[in-house]
Amino acid sequence: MADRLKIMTQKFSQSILLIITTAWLLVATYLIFLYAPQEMTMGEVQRIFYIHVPAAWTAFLAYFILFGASVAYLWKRSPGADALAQACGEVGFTFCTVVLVTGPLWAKPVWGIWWTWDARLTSTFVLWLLFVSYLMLRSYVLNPGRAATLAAVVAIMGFVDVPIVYMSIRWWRTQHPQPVIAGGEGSGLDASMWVTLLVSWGALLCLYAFLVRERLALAARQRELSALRREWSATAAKEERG
Amino acid sequence: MVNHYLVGAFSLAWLAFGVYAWSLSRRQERLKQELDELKKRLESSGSAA
Amino acid sequence: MRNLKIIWAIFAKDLRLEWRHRETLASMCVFGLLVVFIFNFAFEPAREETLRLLPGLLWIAFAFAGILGFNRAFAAERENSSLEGLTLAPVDPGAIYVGKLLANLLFLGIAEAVIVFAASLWYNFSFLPVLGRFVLVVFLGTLGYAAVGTVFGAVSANTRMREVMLPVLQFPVAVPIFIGAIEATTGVLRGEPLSVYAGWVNLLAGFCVVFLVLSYLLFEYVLEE
Repeated sequence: MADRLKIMTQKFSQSILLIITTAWLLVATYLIFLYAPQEMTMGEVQRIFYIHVPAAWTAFLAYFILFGASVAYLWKRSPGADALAQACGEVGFTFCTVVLVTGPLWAKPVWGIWWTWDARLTSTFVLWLLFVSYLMLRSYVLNPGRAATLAAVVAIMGFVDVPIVYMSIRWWRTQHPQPVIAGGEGSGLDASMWVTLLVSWGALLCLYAFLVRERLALAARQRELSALRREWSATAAKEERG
Repeated sequence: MVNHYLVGAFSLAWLAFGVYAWSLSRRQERLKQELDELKKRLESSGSAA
Repeated sequence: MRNLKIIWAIFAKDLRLEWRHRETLASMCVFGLLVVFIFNFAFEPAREETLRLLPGLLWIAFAFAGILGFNRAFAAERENSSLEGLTLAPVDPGAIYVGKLLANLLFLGIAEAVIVFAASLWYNFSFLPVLGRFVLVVFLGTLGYAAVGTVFGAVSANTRMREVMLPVLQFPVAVPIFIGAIEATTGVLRGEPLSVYAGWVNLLAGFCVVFLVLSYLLFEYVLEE
């Protein structure tokens, strides 16, 4: 009975989250396309900024949570921490992909180039590679019981690396300067633009939370299935003997 | 006079989120099927024994 | 004290094993030479360009030779299931890490020497005037590269497609090493005063410290069953 109640409350809260997310996304869309002013030099294309930048912030946040969950897993060995790490890996990868797709589509019409190897873009690409390698590792580990631990180690090494990567490319670029695109996020933003940007980020955070929770539900179901499988093979063995 | 890059960027972004959400629901469905099937088999073997 | 004995034991065992057939060492050297060779067709460096391209070329060759070497470090253990033996023994896993790391350093160092020798011949470039500093910079870069390579080699030994898994794990994390090593090598080869590239040397040293410590601490999780 308590179980049924728990499942019902989870489904209910997830539905609430979905409603809030959808509503917030609609509000954000209105702000992005109708409320935010047209940028002086860049024109309409600049509106990509309102999905590109918050997606990047969310991707880095996802990796940070992934790191925290990995540390928690190595410390406490809770399957919940491992599930959270995996969920952040998948959802973070999705957000990071969005960043890398929307970025060049904004850069090309505005600055004339699809890409440049400056500190911010290169670090974002490295982050994407870190997500990819994390997810690949999880699916290629031979013994599934080891996947969680190995993935946690890899995540921790990667997270420590990210600031070092960013700094080293910054220094490198001061020696070999290249065109910088989107000079500084905060440079010259109107108040209404800030509002749009932050509201968009809120919407994306809700989407992030929703997707992570869905992925966690999937993991929980997977655990249920594994437990049931064990029960099945136990009964099958008993029948053979009996 | 709509900007192609703008449309493309937002469409692709939503496509990415959509594909992921859809893959989640598909995996969820498959798991649910396996779970139900296994539960049925367990029940039938339990009643037979 | 006991740890030192263990480190030496692992290091010596890996050396002895490799010395029997020298397969991995040979393939590392050959692969490195091939990279230097093919580079010649991709960018035919005129005299003036050699200085500009040589550091990058060297570190690309080192990088690929390293991948072959780090895979070897735990491949043998996997084949013989002696990895379980290592973990069951009441041994500090950090010591196993250091032993493996030293073996990797030695083999990669040998391959690097061969690569450098070939490059100096084929591109008519003498390393002798700056040999001391050059060796120091290459050592620092190799140490950082091997520090993460040893851990990721052990991790990918647990996967299928481990030849792919190792570089996929390794290269994103090793980016600062490559930037720092190539920049510092450029400074050394151009004969510039230390102050010009000291920042890069610091980056390499810092990376080594951070990742040596981190790897030492995390290695027990990689080994456990």
